[in-house]
Amino acid sequence: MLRLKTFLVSAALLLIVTAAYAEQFDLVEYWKYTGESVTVSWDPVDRATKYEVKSHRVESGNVVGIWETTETEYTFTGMKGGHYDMMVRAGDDSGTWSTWSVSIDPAVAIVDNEPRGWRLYFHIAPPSIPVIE
Amino acid sequence: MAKIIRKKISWTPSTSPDVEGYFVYAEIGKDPDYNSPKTDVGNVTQVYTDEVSTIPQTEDVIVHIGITAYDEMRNESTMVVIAAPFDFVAPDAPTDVKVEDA
Repeated sequence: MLRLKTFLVSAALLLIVTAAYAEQFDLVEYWKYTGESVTVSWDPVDRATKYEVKSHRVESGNVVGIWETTETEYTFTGMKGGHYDMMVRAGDDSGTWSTWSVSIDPAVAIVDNEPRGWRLYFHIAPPSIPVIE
Repeated sequence: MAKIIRKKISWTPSTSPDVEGYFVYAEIGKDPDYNSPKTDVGNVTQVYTDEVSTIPQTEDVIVHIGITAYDEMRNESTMVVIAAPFDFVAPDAPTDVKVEDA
């Protein structure tokens, strides 16, 4: 069975650990504004020739898109506000796919080179400080 | 009738592409939070004080104004806040106005 070893987001992201998630699920939340992009990457898998990536919006339970790539990273853009778990699986030439690796699973996800689950939180960017005149 | 000078509140819009509008919060003497009185002003970047029902039209107070952007699900951004003195009460009109020979 194909298996992804690591699964992480760009280190350039602002890293925020919320107390509630850290306490309940030991998850790390990466915060981004809607409209910003985020790149998710993973280790290459032996014999894999392609990968499928999808995201799961926590609030709605919906899967948001399934994208195929031959690279070991994918950049998500245009995400609406909400929390997202990211998933990736590897495929080979015979059309066989691995199981999905999910970013909240510390068995396949890492944060700061340590096994740890994570998810993304896209939220609305605030306006500027108002001016009164 | 007295003439009250209204003030304009303006801001630079959120950079998020899914913004549906803005809420304007107001409190007297303290910063507003998400439970404070708010007015949905729509997808605009300026309002006048007399268009925002939650801004108290009173005399000589410090009003703290908070602005958030919201999306179609009414998720809100962090709140940006400014405090400013407001005075929406005109002074009493002069009395005993009369005309005398010079």
